[in-house]
Amino acid sequence: MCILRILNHTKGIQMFPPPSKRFFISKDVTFNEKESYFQPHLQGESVREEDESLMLSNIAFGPEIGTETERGIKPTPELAAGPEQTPQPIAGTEQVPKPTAEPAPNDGGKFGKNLVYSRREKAIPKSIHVQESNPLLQEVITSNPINSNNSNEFVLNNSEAQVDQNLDLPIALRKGTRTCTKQPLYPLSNFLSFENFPPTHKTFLTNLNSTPTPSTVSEALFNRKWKQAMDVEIEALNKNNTWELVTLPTGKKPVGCKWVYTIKYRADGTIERYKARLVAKGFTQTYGVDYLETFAPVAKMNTIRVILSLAANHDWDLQQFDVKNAFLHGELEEEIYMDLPPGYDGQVAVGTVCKLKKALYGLKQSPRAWFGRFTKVMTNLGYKQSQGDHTLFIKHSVSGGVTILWPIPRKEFSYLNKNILLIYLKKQGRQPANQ
Amino acid sequence: MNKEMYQRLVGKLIYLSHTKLDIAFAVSLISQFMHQPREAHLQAALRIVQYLKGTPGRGILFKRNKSVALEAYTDADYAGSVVDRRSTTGYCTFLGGNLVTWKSKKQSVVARLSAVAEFRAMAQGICELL
Repeated sequence: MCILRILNHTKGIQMFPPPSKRFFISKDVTFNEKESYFQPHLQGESVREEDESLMLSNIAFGPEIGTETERGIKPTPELAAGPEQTPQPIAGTEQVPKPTAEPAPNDGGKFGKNLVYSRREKAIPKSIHVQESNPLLQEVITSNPINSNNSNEFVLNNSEAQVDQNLDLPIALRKGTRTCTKQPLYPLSNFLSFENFPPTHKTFLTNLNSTPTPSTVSEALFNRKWKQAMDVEIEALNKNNTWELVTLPTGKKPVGCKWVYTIKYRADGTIERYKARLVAKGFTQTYGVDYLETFAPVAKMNTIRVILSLAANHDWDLQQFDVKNAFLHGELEEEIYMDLPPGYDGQVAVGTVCKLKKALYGLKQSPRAWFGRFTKVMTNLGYKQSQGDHTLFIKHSVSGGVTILWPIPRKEFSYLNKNILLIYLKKQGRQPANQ
Repeated sequence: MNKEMYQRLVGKLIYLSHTKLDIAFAVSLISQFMHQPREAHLQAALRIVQYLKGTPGRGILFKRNKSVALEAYTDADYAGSVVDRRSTTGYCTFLGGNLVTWKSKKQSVVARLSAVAEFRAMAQGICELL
């Protein structure tokens, strides 16, 4: 409700809302043409809201309404204070139990005084009964003399909770009084508890977030342990001959890289080791410049099952291997320049970059490079790649057949155990030379 | 009704049906409504989850059998879908007595006679593997 003026020099509408007593310009204007400006709207609105909240309070205490209609309609003030008074006459009947999970006197008082804002506070004690194992609730149930049938009561309480959630929606009638930031409406402790976990698991969970992982290099360099982990990684990369330092040729763009820090935990929650991994920012690569093909085949589940079935029938031995840092073994065909790893760029001249020879985590062609390398090694060893499934490598030897399957079972798996080799060989067959 | 939640749930169920073939048909049914799920579809999906919770430890057993034969069983319900009267094919293949592949799939055409042509392609795939 305000006075409007359309201005020529701006695209907005100038407004003069009476409460603020000053002009301002906005483009975001909603015209409400149904209501007249000159109506004494302020009183009217407050009355309407009171009515609505009264209706809502009726819904909130749904079970009591039935009994009230039996006794006849009551005037509204008493209705609002319903939860205190109504349970007494119906104490004998078992169908409508007293809402046990909430402190009744406190509740009723609030409803009588301030109808609109009391609802949020009421919802907090109510949400208790969502958690079944809450000791408070069980106490209340067992100490309640009215109700002999506990399960019946619990169901009713649940339905009441659902009504409550619905009730939260229409409270947005009036803005400006937001109380929800003070207390969470549904605190996590009501739904999640560590009660039922075994003690070892509990310590594991509580230890999980006790040590923070650094998000930037400068943070990590302060801590000796992280620095150590980074040194180890750099050393491993150097040993693997991953890159050579060159000056950046003109017209080439280096790919960025970053450190990713993780903590490895043991089963009891103690820290096993600090892990730092250098990851290339593959998203800065451009097709045709930095990479061409990225497809890498993945073992088919059908093939795996066929081989499992054959192994079961012929009594083959199954072995499973894991290649550590598999992607780092892949050889790159493309010419890729990468920025110096952050934290290690101080020793060399400006303009020096790493020319990658081996693949790195994060590069788009890493899986393909790794598979290409693997195929090459396997063919050199005399294995034949199957045409039906390219991830299957077969070798027939004199003593018996040796079958090798190269998996990456699925995308989800590939993050966990990216590089399991399943090797199947007959009992009398020789051990295959792997990698 | 949360569409993304439904899609995520069905995606997880599809992943589960890699090892749990007993939910293959149900999952194929609910995954036909990925683009516009309704409350009833979510209920159906949750029912599958309930089933899974009630029957833990089910899987495929690979055991030693006498035979090394390749067997396949197929079936199709004739015009099983009430929406568009298409049929649903189901098949499973046994290699040496152990279950290897299976599928439950709604056919892409309306069949006027019950057709089980799916079997051919699948048998070829197995031959290719070995």
